[in-house]
Amino acid sequence: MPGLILGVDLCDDYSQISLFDPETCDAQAIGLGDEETKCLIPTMVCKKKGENSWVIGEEAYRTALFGAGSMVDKLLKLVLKEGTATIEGVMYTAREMLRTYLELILDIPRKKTGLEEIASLVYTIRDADPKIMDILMELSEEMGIPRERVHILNHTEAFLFYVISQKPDIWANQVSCFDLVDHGLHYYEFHVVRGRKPQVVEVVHEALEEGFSLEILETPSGEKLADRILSTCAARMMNKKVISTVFLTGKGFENPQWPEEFLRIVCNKRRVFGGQNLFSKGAAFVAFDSIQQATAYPYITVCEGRIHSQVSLNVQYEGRMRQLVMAAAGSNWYETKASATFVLDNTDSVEFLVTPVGNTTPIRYEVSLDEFPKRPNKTTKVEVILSFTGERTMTVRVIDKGFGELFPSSGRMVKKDFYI
Amino acid sequence: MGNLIYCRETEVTVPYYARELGISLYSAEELCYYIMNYVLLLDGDFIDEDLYRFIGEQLRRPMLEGKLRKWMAQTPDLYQGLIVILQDLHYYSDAEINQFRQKLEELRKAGPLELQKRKGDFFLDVRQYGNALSTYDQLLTHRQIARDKSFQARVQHNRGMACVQLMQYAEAMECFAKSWEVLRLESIAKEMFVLYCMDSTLTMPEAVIASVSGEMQFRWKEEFDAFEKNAAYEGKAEDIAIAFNKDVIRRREAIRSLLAGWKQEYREMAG
Repeated sequence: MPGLILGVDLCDDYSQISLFDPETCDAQAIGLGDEETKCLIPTMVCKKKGENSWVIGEEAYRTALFGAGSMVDKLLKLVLKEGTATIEGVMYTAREMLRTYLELILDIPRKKTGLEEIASLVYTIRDADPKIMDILMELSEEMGIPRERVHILNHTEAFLFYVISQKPDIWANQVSCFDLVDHGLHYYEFHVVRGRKPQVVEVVHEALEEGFSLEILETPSGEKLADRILSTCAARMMNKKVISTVFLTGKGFENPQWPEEFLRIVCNKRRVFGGQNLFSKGAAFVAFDSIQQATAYPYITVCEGRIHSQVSLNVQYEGRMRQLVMAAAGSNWYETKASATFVLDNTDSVEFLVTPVGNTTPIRYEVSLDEFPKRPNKTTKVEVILSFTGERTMTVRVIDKGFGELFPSSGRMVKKDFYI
Repeated sequence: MGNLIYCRETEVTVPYYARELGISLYSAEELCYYIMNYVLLLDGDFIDEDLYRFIGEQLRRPMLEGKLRKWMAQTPDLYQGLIVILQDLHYYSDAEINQFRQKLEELRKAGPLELQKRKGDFFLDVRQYGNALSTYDQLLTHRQIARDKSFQARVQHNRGMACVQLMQYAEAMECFAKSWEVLRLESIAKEMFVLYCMDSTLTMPEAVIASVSGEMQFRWKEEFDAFEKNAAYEGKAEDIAIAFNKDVIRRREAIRSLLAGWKQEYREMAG
């Protein structure tokens, strides 16, 4: 399908956009200008005074600075709070302004490539809040991008996919990532769980308490203090671990030379990469993978935002007992929805087998169907719908479908939530 | 231990019309259930072009369709054809299919008259009284039935039962009388007595009255009165009472739903 394959890292301070090139099989960060530094696009919109036109990023800053418009920033937080902004007497909802921002940010690759169609789009946000995820999905649809072409990852997932898209020697051992942004310091650690089939890759994310405002880097003494803080964190987090690669990302590492002591610790017998577009590139790799017939990542991915267990049912199909997997371990919880239809044979319940990654013994969860009308055996068809409201919260709906015209449906539904 | 039987997702656009029941079947599971439970209604025409097309095109089982066509061309045997369908669709276990096979053998051994009677009795069981009546009528016109007076009397009795349900009391009384003449069963006499209690314009044959003691008739009358009294508070009467106890808006909806149900029931009963 000819069209843009995009990864968009959407944060409250800065956003980035990466374009996947199927010919080189690599992703390239793109911004409003040509330089790499211009790829960090401040997440803000500014409405020009007296005009019905909006600008984003640095231009929004400039326009507001010269008094030629009114600027609104921290759009994601504003959306979560269902906030509004009144500009020139008109009230705009945060959702509307986020849509404007997304339209303009998605125009960047369109203008650069001349392609209009978006074949696949993956957003990555720091913490995947369901409300933000729903709104991003809705906005994408409103912008004419079909829902099935849009996916949302959190930063941990984006980091995971970025790492496994690199050459295997990069992730032969553990891989660390420090993400230094204005609102904190985040540490990600990637490792492969050996001896499992399919292979299990895991990322642990920790929001470190030692985060500091990036404003302190403006003075030499502040830089020294920040270096000391980072060094302490690095020593603690990387102690006694076989880490082969370290990634440094975030606005704080825009100039990665400043924290000397920290760099001395992390560079010790390790490869260290600095860059600003790790998450958006990770998202772009997933965007490409999602439109392929077979995935290039045949791994069970364990991290926040992904289901930690396999959910299955023992069913009879074509005369034989089989295990029907309704949700695979390592799937993105937001996208995991499954439904199947069964006939009840001498049973009035549905039993789910939940098998955590690394375990072989399943935990059993039962949904009783006592409320359904009593009928002769094998004359009640049920539709089982499974969805998730979080990586550990599973919702099961069982609907009585009756049995054709022989036994019409009662329309009853049983809903049950499980913490798995 | 119970199971869940996984149903293949097939979108049926043209369902199979089961003319014997007057309903449409939309899935392989329904077809299997229909065969297993309504076999008495199926005749030699059941495996026809409509069924082949339903299996091949709608259920997307062209292999089964081909197999069935080939089988029926070689040995046009309805019962074997049914087994082929059940085995291929795997809805019933081997044990259940074996049981069904035995039932088919038993049916095969029964003569055509007996089969016809069972068909009528089946309609009676599933409250399709119109169909039951026409099946018995067809049977009673058969030449060979006169040879077995007892069999004929049993058919008459069951025909009478169908007539009762269709509120054709005079005809029912006539059937019961013919049946009683041969079988001389007290249970039939009781049925006639109850029928008389329900409709006093009917006349019970003298011979039947003479065969039952006064004391017995008194007891039957007591039973009937008790039943009639209870009937005012049970079944459909209870449904009406529940509907009328609802508030104005819900009452209207409940009555509409009751009437719709009864109309449907009547249509099915009358066939």
